[in-house]
Amino acid sequence: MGGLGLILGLGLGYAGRVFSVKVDPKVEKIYELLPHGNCGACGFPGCEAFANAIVENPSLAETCTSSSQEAREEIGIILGVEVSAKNEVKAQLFCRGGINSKDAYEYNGIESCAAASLLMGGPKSCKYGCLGFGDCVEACPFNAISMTSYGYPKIDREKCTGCGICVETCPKSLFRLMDKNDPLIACSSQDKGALVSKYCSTGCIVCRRCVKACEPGAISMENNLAMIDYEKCTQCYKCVEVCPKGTIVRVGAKVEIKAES
Amino acid sequence: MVSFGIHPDYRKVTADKKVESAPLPAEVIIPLHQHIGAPCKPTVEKGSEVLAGEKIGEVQSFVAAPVHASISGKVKDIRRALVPVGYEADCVVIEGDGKENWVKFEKRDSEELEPKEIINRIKEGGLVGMGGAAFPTHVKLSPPPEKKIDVIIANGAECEPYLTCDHRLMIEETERIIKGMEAAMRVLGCSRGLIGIEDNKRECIEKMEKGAELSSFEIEVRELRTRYPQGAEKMLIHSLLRRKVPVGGLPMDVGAVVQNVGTLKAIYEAVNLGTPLVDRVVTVTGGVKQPQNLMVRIGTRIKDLIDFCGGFTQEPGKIINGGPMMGIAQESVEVPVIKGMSGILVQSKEDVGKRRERPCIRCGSCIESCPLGLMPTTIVRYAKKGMFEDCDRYYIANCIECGCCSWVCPSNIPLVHWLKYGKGEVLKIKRKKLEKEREKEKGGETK
Repeated sequence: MGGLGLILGLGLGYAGRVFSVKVDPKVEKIYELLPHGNCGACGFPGCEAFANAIVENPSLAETCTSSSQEAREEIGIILGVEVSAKNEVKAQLFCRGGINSKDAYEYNGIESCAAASLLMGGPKSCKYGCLGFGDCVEACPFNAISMTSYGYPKIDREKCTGCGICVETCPKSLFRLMDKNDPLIACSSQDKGALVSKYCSTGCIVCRRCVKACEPGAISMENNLAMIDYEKCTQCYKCVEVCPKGTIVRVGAKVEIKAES
Repeated sequence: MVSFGIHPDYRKVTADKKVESAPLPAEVIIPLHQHIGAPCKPTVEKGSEVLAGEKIGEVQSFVAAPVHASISGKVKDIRRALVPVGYEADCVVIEGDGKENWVKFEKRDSEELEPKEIINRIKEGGLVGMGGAAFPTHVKLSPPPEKKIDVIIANGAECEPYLTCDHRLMIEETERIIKGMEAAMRVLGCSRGLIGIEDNKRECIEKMEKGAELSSFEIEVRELRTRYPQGAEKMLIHSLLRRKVPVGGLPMDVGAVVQNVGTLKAIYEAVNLGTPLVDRVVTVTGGVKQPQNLMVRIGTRIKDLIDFCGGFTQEPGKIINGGPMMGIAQESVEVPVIKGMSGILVQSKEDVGKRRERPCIRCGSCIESCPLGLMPTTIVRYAKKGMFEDCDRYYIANCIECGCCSWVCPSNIPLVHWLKYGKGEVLKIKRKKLEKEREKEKGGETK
């Protein structure tokens, strides 16, 4: 038995050497540099396919949005092309409802946001907000999203590569890719302020204090929701200070609900 | 015959209760999107006075039906509100003046009218299928010229438990249903009419047979086995004609058009009397003090109806638009009655109960019960894993969401919910593919 194993092993080893498929060393090197998340944001089925594709057609090298800046530069050197600097964008969640937002009915169906949103838009009173079943957590190829005890997901900004899978996955379209230093209005409800204040303690109540506080005039109200024009925003974070509901958050800072005075 | 479907407890407690008129609502909420197709555009503004029967929503595409005011009064607001089919739509809120000021209707005799005029009157009446799916009636009655329709089927099966609105209509409005059917037959130019009624509704069968005898058209009443979902379009066609609607096809592909009896009555009213669809019969049943069949104006809040029926007998667990099998549970009693709502069912907390889902034991009950011969367990296994292309391979799009599989499942797997979810995802994937192909074609042209 042992002898047989030895003979077959040797045979396999020999065959492995003789018949091995030669991989372009470039492909191997590039593959090592890629994030291995197989997110598919480039349009190819996984990182290996992408590595093969860019060796053949170096002009595609920029399409990987997930790899880090250093990796992109190195890939550029290997391929002999210039790869443009990466836009540092991270996924952000435009809702801080979760347990702060009231339920409209008792739900006992499938534990999935997409399935729950089929039934009257989900069990939350707010028809725009996060349902908290974590479809995004499952979908994130880099394990950057995790569910918090607040009932809405948290994004690990170290791990997030800005691939945009969560943007597509969320049935409520609550994710957007943003510059990491921008303040963000963590609410997507287009209901009237009075209604929002009934069902959610962190929703935008259309009080317009941020509009008045914003010196460059970057904030406006559209569809009962504050909107920041990021071209004008100077990142002074005055809006974050004046918001009575803690709806406007400074990304990375903890959400604190201020007591109503 | 192949066995299909299930035999639930029918509980038709309101079958002997005459249709009563519900009191005129003080305020109605009329959604501008009550049908399958594009929503309507409001033709009134906030503050304008409307008469009952006046058009308040105009269609913007062919597959749509206009919306009419169901009471006279003043337009209080036009806002987004939840509609009982599960999404938010623009609604016209009318505050009633308590008077019955109607628009003047033009009476005509359907026998003198050209088919085109009949279609036009049906379209202007805002008619949609009243069995639940709310497909615009004029679209159903104008098939493409290459599709020859040889038979029209009146759907009086009413296979959903609890619901009795069609049952009462067949007894009380026999003549109108037959007249409406004649009008529809004239439009389609078909000579044969069938009325399918389940054999647990003896009284209806007798009444309809008498009515059909008086007609100059060849209309026949057929008894159907009492079985859920006998009233589903595809099932009904198979039971009556032994024809099978092809995968992804419509009844018109096999030369048949199916209309609910309520729709036929509405056709008579729209064509002969000129009245638009502003009221319908709704069965209010289950955990209310006096379950009954009510003639209700479209837009009445279901809270008003439940109050009229004496309120809840105990704390409700679920309030459902439609029947227990295919109905949609509501999150609030503030939603309005719409054209496609056949019943309001109140279930108690005990009825609802939470059931724990257990793993599939591969017993095959769902496959046996599926009226379309699908394999729910296999499809759902794929849907759970996100393999939607495989779902499509097993014809998920054919599922009519009748609920038989979930009803028989011994492991309490929410199969219909998964199927519904899977169907949506499959559609999304197909749409994406189409878009990509179109982009490619465009790219090819420019090159």
